[in-house]
Amino acid sequence: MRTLDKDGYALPPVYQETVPTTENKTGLWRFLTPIRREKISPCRKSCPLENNIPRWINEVKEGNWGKAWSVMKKYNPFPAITGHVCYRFCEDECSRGFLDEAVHIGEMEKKIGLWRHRNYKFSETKPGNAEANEGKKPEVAIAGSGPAGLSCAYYLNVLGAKVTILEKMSQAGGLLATGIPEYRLPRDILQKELDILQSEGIIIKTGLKVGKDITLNDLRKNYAAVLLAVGAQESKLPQIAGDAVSEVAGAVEFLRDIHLNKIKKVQGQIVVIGGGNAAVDAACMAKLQGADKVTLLYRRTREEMPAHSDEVNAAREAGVDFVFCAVLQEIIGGEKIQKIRACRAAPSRRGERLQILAETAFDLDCDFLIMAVGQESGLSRFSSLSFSADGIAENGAAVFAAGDALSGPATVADAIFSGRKAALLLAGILWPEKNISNLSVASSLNGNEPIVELEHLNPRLFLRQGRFNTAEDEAGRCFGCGICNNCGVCWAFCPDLAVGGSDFEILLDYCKGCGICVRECPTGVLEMEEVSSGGA
Amino acid sequence: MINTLVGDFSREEFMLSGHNACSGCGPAIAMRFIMKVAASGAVVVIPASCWSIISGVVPLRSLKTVVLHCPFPAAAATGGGIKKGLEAVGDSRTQVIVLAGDGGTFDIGLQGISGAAERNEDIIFICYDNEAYMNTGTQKSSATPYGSYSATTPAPKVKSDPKKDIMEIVAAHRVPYAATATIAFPGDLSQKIQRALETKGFRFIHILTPCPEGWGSPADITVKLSRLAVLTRLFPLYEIKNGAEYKLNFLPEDYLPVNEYLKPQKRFASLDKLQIEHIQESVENHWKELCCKTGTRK
Repeated sequence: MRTLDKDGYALPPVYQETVPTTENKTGLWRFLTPIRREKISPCRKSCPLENNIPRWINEVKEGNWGKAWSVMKKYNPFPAITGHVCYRFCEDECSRGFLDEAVHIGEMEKKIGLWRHRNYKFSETKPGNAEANEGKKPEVAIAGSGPAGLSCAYYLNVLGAKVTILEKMSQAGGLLATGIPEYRLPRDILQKELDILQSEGIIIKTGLKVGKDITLNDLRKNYAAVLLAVGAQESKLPQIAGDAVSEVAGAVEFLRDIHLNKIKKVQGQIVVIGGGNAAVDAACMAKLQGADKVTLLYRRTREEMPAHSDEVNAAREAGVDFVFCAVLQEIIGGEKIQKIRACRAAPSRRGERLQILAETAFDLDCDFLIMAVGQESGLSRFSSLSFSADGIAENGAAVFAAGDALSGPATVADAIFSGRKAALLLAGILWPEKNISNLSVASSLNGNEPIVELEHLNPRLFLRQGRFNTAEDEAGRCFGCGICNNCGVCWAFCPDLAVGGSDFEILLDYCKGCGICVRECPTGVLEMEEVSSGGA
Repeated sequence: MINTLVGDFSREEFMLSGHNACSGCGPAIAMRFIMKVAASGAVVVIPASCWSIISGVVPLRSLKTVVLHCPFPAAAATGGGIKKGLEAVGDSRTQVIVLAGDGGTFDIGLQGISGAAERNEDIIFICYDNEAYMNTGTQKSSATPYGSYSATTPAPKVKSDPKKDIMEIVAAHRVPYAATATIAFPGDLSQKIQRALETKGFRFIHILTPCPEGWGSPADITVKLSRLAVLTRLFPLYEIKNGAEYKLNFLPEDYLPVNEYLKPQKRFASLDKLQIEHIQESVENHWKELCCKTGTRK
């Protein structure tokens, strides 16, 4: 045998054995076979959107922002928004957190969203073109332009419906526009998102309240289906002795009035009652708007607060005082509020009965009181309808509900997910014969999918490396839990050269079933399965 | 090129599937990477060892290059002779690579290595170390570590002497290049073979290759054991240039106790706490020594 190298240089001719070992089908030795089975990553499990995070991070790693967006949009059409406002439950669960620090998933999500904003080409011809098909397109009305409504509109539009959104306020966006403080979500991001949706052919009509300016029955007559994504934007105001004063407002209303410039200036001493995100947002906003002193009263301990720690920390930084284990008892003052009286409560867990301690009453000076102790669903004004847990109206055909209106106050991500689920439900009604493919809308998990455990992973392959400056570097820190991201480790460590080099498929003719690939796989996507009798 | 998490490697293979290595063989992984880097334009000399089986028994062959099987003690001499012969006919380009096991290096082949190193023969001598005569049934070699079971040191009379420090023996010959490597770090392994190819004179590479059959470990943890050997500092990755310039190639961020490495292996099953402490102590002493030589403060 003469071996020529690339310069045409030949090794000395020596007799060599003639039969290549490839004749030897060592796959027959095997009693275990490595197989690839995708699993759910911990970040995806904890994400309200069930977002397939490792998949798009893998695209970011290669700098393929376009591909990353095309993965993202099946799960979350508004990464620029969630990148700003989501509480990043994913990062709390990130497997990398056990090695050094969780991957900064939220930052990357935001970057994908901003990439989309920069690269979106607004088409001016689109509405004209669409007219030709208009007759064939089923029409859908969505009440409410919050995250749930927008998300449902986006997906239905992608699937081929003509969507009209009705918003009661003068500006679209729902809670995104009137609830979330601007320091958390810059309004130009929201505006860009709305512009893109409109350019895609979605019609947004503001200043139209369903049930007042237009009746639900009219909508049902004119549209093939109606979605009520009207949020939960009415604060519940409990009856407290002496509360018949004008300087008491719900947190949601307070935030809305600030965003709509109805409240120009906040001053004096503000007291906020409640421990949820709305309470903390309102307290923080009051302080930033110029209140002299803002005190937040929560009836349980800091640990029990439903508000996310990001919010609490932001409020602390802004200078909000927190008083824990304190319960509002009485509002003191006649025409004008002067003081509030509160009592101490014994530390207790959420769900437990509150035990108020006698003779612990104390007074706080107060010029304005903000109540954030719960919100009323906007569905209450459609009292003739009742909805199943999935949001299907049980006694009104083709009417659906989604978002906070259905579930009670939750996060923006929850609302977007609810909108996505509703879009799939509506699609089933609009196109009963059509098989909705998952290419453009991800369906939700059924809960039986295998989840990646830490022991499936191989963190030692990821040696700790210093600072990460670019998104691509940061994406490289992701273990890729549960997916095959073509890292090539199975190929590199196979002693039998039984992993193909193109897409890393197992060559069953030669695989001896040692399991090194399974053990070394850093994402946990490979597992061993017993060979049925007879070997390979 | 294939870019993997553990390094970038050429797509081209110089080794074939279907070789007769056991399931989960460490030496087979080492051989594959050596071939990837060095096989093109090289003559390979293999004395009796697992590698002689893996490279193919008559009439099989698994290596896409010229292979010469030679007697057990004569690997370095055969390699040196081939190189001299090639030079005599005017071929100075062909690299001669000797691939020997720990038996053919630490015991039976030692005089040959010493001679070739002393004459500074222009060959690369690569030793895969699975720490016993695994091919013939796990007999003890002088590479077998303290406390290990073998067919000739059965429990409870496990090996009572430490492993021979082959790197110091080779370094004492003042050879141009010597290095340790292991299969869990294929990038480092490939780099060292590349460096050896670029150096002239006697070059020596010592590769730790776990053996599931002989070590009594599950087949799937072969690579993991190799990694643990480095992370516990039991097998440090380093290079020696000209017998004097030491360089550590991998500083583990946090050291693992040796027990992590010993526990999964049945050959160490009979060790008691004191013996394990003794191993830990000798690992630390060796590491300190090495840090002194490399000027590492750790």
